[in-house]
Amino acid sequence: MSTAQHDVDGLQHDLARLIPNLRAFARSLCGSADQADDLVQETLVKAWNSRASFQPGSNLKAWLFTILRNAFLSERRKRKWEVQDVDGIGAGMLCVRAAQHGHMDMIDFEKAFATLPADQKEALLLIGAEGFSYDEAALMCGCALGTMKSRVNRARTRLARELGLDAASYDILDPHIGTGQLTA
Amino acid sequence: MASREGGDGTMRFNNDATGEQTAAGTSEGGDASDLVGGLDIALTPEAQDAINHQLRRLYSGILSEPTPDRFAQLLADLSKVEGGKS
Repeated sequence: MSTAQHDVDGLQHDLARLIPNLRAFARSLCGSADQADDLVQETLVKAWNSRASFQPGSNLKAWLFTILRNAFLSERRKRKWEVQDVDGIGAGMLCVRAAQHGHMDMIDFEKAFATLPADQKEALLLIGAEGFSYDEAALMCGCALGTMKSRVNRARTRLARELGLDAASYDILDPHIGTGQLTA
Repeated sequence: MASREGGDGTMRFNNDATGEQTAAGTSEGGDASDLVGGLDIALTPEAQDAINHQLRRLYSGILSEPTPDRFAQLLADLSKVEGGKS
């Protein structure tokens, strides 16, 4: 009994400690503060209800994040969340609009990030923001290690392009691209 | 900051607990990002650094926000309803 109570208190404490991370992940993933907090709430309830299946000593944060991203994807399928639902389409439109202005660097990072497909957002958040290993992230997302690496790579490449950070690398990798196009 | 808590470095998730089984490919939807990803290029270290930096800045901004009271209340409610039963 006392051991059980200790476990309950410990888990409560650990959950509370990880709420800021869950909120940051959820917000970055779905882009809406309200939806994000609903997701976090759902995650906490699910985690609590299935706490018996959590293996003590394994990575609680990874477990919680997995629950959250699964809830997010499930919810998205159900409700067809607007921007995320059309991933590429919405993002593409934004890109075109920005391109017409001719100043990709005017888009700030947050806007550019919001245009990423959900799988790339997730990958970049887990690896780049939360510091999970590629192995961990691949396990959490149910994909192959190579897929995870590719998603992170694509996310970074796309952000760099939209933020106007990649001119130099084009220059280096393909000297045949007319340098005249690269207005320094 | 990579948090490895499993002693052997592996993680075992009981996917029953995650509400939904996500087999590989569930969320891929044909990977339309290939259109973009086809252009995979190596970013300059400067570009990588800039992106990493901005990502962390954005993320830590949210991380440092105060947690709304509803979550403390939620945890308290959860512990009352099922606390001690496990």
